[in-house]
Amino acid sequence: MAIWKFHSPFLDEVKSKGLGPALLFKTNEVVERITAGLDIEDIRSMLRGDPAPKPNPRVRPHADGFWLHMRPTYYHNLTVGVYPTFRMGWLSTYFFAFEIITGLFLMVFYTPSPLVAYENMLNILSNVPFGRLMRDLHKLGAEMMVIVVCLHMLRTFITGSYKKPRQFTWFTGVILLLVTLVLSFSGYLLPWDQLALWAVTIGASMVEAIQPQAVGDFVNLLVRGGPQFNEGGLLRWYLLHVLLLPIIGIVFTGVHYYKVVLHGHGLPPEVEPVGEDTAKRTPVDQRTYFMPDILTRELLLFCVVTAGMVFAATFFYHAPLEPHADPLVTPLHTTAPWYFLWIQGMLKIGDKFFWGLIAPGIAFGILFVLPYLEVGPSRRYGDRRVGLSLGLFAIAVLAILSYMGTPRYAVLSSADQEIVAELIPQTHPGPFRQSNWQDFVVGEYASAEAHSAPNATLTRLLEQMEEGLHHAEAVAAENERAGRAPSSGAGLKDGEGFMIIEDWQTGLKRVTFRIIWEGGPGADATPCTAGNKNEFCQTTYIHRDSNYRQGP
Amino acid sequence: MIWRVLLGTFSIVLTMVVLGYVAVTEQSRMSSFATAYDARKIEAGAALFEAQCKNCHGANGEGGIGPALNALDLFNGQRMEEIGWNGTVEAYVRNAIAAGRPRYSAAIGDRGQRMPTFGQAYGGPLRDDQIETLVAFVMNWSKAFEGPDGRIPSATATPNPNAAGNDITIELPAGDAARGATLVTACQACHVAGAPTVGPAWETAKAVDGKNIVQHAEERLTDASYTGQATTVDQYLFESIVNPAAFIVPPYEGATWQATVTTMPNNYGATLLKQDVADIIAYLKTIP
Repeated sequence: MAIWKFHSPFLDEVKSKGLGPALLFKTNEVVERITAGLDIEDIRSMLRGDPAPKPNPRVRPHADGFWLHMRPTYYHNLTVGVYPTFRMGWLSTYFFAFEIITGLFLMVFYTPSPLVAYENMLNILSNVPFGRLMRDLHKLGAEMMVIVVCLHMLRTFITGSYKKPRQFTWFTGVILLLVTLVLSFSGYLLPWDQLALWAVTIGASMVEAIQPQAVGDFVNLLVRGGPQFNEGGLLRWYLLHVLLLPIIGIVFTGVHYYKVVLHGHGLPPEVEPVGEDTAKRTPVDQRTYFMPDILTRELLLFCVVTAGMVFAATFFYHAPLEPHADPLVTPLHTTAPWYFLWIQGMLKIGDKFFWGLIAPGIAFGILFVLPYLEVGPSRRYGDRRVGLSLGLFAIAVLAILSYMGTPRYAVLSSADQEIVAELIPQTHPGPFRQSNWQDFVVGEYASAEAHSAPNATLTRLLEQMEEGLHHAEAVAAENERAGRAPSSGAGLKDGEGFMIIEDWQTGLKRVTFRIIWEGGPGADATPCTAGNKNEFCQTTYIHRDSNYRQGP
Repeated sequence: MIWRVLLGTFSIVLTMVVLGYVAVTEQSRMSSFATAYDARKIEAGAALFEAQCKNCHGANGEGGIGPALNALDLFNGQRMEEIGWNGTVEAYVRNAIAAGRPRYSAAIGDRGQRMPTFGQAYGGPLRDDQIETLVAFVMNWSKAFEGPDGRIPSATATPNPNAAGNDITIELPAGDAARGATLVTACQACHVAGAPTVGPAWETAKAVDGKNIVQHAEERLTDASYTGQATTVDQYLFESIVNPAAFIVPPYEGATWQATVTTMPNNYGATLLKQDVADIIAYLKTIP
C-alpha cells in the first residue's frame, strides 16, 4: 500500500554498496555539510600540508558557512606573526566569549537581591561543584580582559593603525573599551560583600558631584537606584552587567571586526609606503590562507589560553569574599578596583566634579577623536615621535595617578589607627588573621617586649607593631622640630603598643590591640574605656576554624 | 603544523587533568570552605554581641538584666519547655533576637524589661544576615556544655534529689532563720525594695494592710478566694516560693489573661534545695 512505503536513500546506498562503504559515504556527506564545504579528504589534505587544489575547496566554508562568513579567507604573511598584533584583538574576543560562558554558569546560581546575593555566593563556593573554579575563572577572565583590551588599544596606537581609513574602527574600539570597563565595574558589585559595595559606591559617588546639583542628584538616583546602593541599585547593575552591556558589546564587536576585515589587517608600518594602505591588495605569494594555517593557530591559542586560565584559577588565583555588605560601615582604606585607581587618585587632587567627571571625560573624549585629530599620513615610528612620546607620557601619568589612588597616598587617619590597620585591615585578612590560631596564647603582650613573646608568630606581629611605633616616633620628633604638636598627623610621641589575647568561647579568642602615647590615659584609668585620652583600642575576634589563609 | 597539534593536544590534556584534580578535591574543599565561613559568622556575631547585647546579657553571656545565655538550661531546651515552645533551640534563639520577647523568659522574673526587637522585619536595626551571625555566636556557647559524645545533656535528666521540688506536702528539715536571711537577697528586689509595686511586701511598714507575712498567710489560707493547696502557714509559704502561680494575691494578678501567670519566677522548686526553702521559711516568719 502506498502509505506504507518507507523510503530512505541511505538504505538504498547500503543495498548497492554494502554497509561499510555506505557508512563512510554518509559520514563524508555529514562532514561536508557541517564544515560547509570540506569533506574528509579535503581536511586530511589540508592538514597534511598539500598545496591547495584548483578550484580551492578551502574557501567554501567562508563563502557558504555562517561561522566563517566574516573571517578573511587569507591574510597577508606579514600580519600573521606575533608582531604586529600580538594576537591582542583575538584575545579580547576570546575573553569576551570566556566571560559570557563562565558568567552563564554563575547566573544559574545567583539572584540579584541584597537579601540573598551574598548567601548565593556562599552557596556557589560551598555547595556547587566547580563553583569556586567558575567564579575564579570569571573574575580572572575579567581582569585579563581589561588588561588585554588596554594592550590591544596600546598596540593599535603604537602601530598607528587608527589612521585613515581605520578611524571608525578605532572609534568603535573605544566604545568597546568603555563597555569592558563598565562590565567589569558592574560585575564587581554583584557578590554584595563589603569590597563590592564600597568599591562601587566610591565610583558612583562621583556622579553626585555633577553640577547643577539637581542634575547630580537625579543622576545619582538613577545610578544607585536610591540614595544609597540597595535592592534597586543591585538589580539595575545586574541587568546592565548581564543584558545591556553584553548586547552592546556583541553588536559593536561585530561592527568593529567587520571594519577590520573590510579594510584588512594593517601591515607593519615599516613595510608600507607612507600614506598608502595596501592591506587589501595582498599579492598571491604573500598570502597565508585561513584554512589550515590561521585556523590551527587559533585553535592552538584557544587550547593554550584555556589551559593557562584553568591552571591559574585552580592553583594561584582566588577571588576574595569579604564579609557581608554593610551600608553603615565603611572599611578603612577601601579602594576602587585597580583599573579605576587612577580616577580615585584624581579625586584626591581636588574638586570632585572636575577631577572625577570632567577630567576622565576629557581623557576618553581625546581617545574617541584621536584618529580625527591626529591625521599625519605616516604610520612609521620614526615619523611619530611626538605622538608616541605623548602616549608614553600618558601611560606614566596613569601609573602615577593609580599610585595616588592607593591608600598609601594622602592617607588621612592617625598613626595609631594606621598601625593597627596594618595588622587587622578592614579590606582583606591581613597578617594577624592569617597567622596560626594555636599561636595566639592567652595573655597581655607589649610590643616593646616582642622578643620575649611565647612564639615566633606573636613576636612577628608585635615587632610589626613596634616598627610602626618607631616610625611614628620619628615623625613626632620632626613635628616637634617644625613647631607642631608631636602626636599630630602621622606622629606619636612615646608610643607603646599592646596585644591582649583572651579566651572567649569554645574555639574563639578575643584580641585587643591597644596603642597609647604620651603616657596614655594614666595609671588609674581602665584600659580601653570610652573617654580615655591618648589611647586607641581595637578589638577583633578570631576563631580556630576561620582559616583566612585558604583564600577562600 | 605538527607542533601546533601536539601543543594543542597537550593543553587539552592538561586542562582535563586539572579539571580532574578539581573534581577529586572539590568535596573536601567545599566542606572546609563551609567550616571556615561558619567560623567567620561566629566572629562577626561576637563583634555584634559586644556592640548590642552585652549590656543586658553580660559580656560573657552570664546574664544581668537579661537571662544568662551561656547557660545549660538554654541549650538543653529547659527554658523552651517551660514556655511551651516547640521548635529547636536555634529557632528559639533566632526568634528571640529578631522578634524580641512580648513575654519574659522563663529564666528570669519580669523586671519590667522585655527584650526589644532586633530584626529589621520587626522594626529593629539588624539585617537578617547579622541576626544569623548572632545566632551562630550564641549557639557556640553550647559547645562548652557538650558531653564527650558531643550532645547536650537532656533537660529531663535525673533531678537533684535534694531539690525542693513542687510538692508542698513533703516534710522539710528544720529551718535556720539566720541562714535564711542570707538566701533572700535576690528576693528583696521585688518584695522589699520594689514592694508593694512589684510584689507583695514582706515588711508591715510597706504592706497595704499593715500585716506581717505570717498574718497574711493565716488570713489567705482560709479565704474563700484561695486557689492553692496549702493547709498550714508553712505550706502556704512553701507554695508561694515553689508554685507561685497556684494563688496570686490580689491585686497582683493583673488582667484576666494574666491571672494564671505570675511575675515571680516559677523554677525555684528546681533551683533551691529543701534546706534552703526551710531556712527561708524560717526567716520569713521572723520578719516583723
